[in-house]
Amino acid sequence: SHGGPPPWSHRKEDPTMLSSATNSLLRPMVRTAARRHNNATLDLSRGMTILSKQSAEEYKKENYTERMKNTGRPVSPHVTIYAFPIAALSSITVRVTGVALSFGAMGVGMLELFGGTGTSLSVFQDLGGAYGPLVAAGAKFSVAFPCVYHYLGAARHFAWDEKPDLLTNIDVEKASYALYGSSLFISVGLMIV
Amino acid sequence: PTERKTKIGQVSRNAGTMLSSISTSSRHVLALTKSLAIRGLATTTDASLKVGSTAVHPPRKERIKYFKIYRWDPEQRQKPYLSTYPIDLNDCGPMMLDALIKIKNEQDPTLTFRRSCREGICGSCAMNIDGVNTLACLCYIESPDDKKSASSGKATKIYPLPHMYVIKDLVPDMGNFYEQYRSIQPWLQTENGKSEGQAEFLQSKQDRAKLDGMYECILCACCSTACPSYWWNADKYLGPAVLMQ
Repeated sequence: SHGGPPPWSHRKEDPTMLSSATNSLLRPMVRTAARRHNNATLDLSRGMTILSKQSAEEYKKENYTERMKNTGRPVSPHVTIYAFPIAALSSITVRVTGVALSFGAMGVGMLELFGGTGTSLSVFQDLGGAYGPLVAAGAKFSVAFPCVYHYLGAARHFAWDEKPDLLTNIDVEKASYALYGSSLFISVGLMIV
Repeated sequence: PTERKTKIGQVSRNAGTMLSSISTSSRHVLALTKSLAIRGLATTTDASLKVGSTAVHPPRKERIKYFKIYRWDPEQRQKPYLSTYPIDLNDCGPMMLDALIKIKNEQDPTLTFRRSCREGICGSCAMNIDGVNTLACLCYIESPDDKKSASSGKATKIYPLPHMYVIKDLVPDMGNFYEQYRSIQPWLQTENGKSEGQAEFLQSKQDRAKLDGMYECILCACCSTACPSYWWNADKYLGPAVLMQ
């Protein structure tokens, strides 16, 4: 029989009111929540998903991530195991090439600032001539590809802004392959020229 | 290793029917033959009369496939790891869930996962199989093209839904997902209320058509847990499943 809520039910130790809802005879057997970093035992009351009006208030009280940190549970693997679709890969490549271009532009800026006007041009001419054709080709490709890919990727975004009907699974998949293919083709062309 | 109890049962059943269909006198001859054969003194070379011949049912070659499954025990202070299990596909149902249940029954009873309907309607068995979030009960172990080639070379990797807090093995904590669903008040709401004397809200065919494509959602969380934005901002971003509802 229900003997009423225990005297500590208003305090932090019983946030989900497990103790008041539990039979008073069984109460000592129920582990009440202790907000401590304890690796051996898991926080029973806050770890479990007991959906109720109380749980809704619970979730509002504290950030979910913060609460889960106290349980000691691991986060399941994500980036390392997920099979990203070509659309996701093409999108993140736009961002990666953008970051690379930023660093490249900053590098050129630094060279010009500290080396005087024309330093970067002489560096490029050095790379092109002094170290052989392989290094020259590699250098040309590593500049051409980010420029071309990022530019075409942005163009793709503008196309989507104008025609959102193109944002279907099939069309975006085709567009991703087209983006990779055309960027590679143009970059190799620029590398050879 | 999986046991092939059914094969032994089949052989003995066949031998029994063979014996019962032969006349009495022949049966005596056969019994004599059998006892002599046991003593290594067979008097006949007719293979079809030999008791216990396995020529009736040709033995099937094993098709072993390996499953690498994410494991974590909250009671042990260990990091999560991958356990590898071999399954003879000739002895197993076609779906991933069949393989999981077979592993749990025969090899490792501690393997923990959620499951219920086994027909793709409840959403319990949602997990990440070979990098793709899907329902284990609907995911074929081998696609029909695979069956032709020797597909048992590559191991299947099974993980829980990505970037979720793991309760045990393949069981993630769905609390946040359910609370987000609750927060959108997932029921039909009216703006104007009922007019005087109105009994029920009638639904036109056009109104019903608006629900198509959305009412079928079983809230398995495969889509939300596939979204990198939901990985990084699960507390603020509701995720595709909840947004669609």
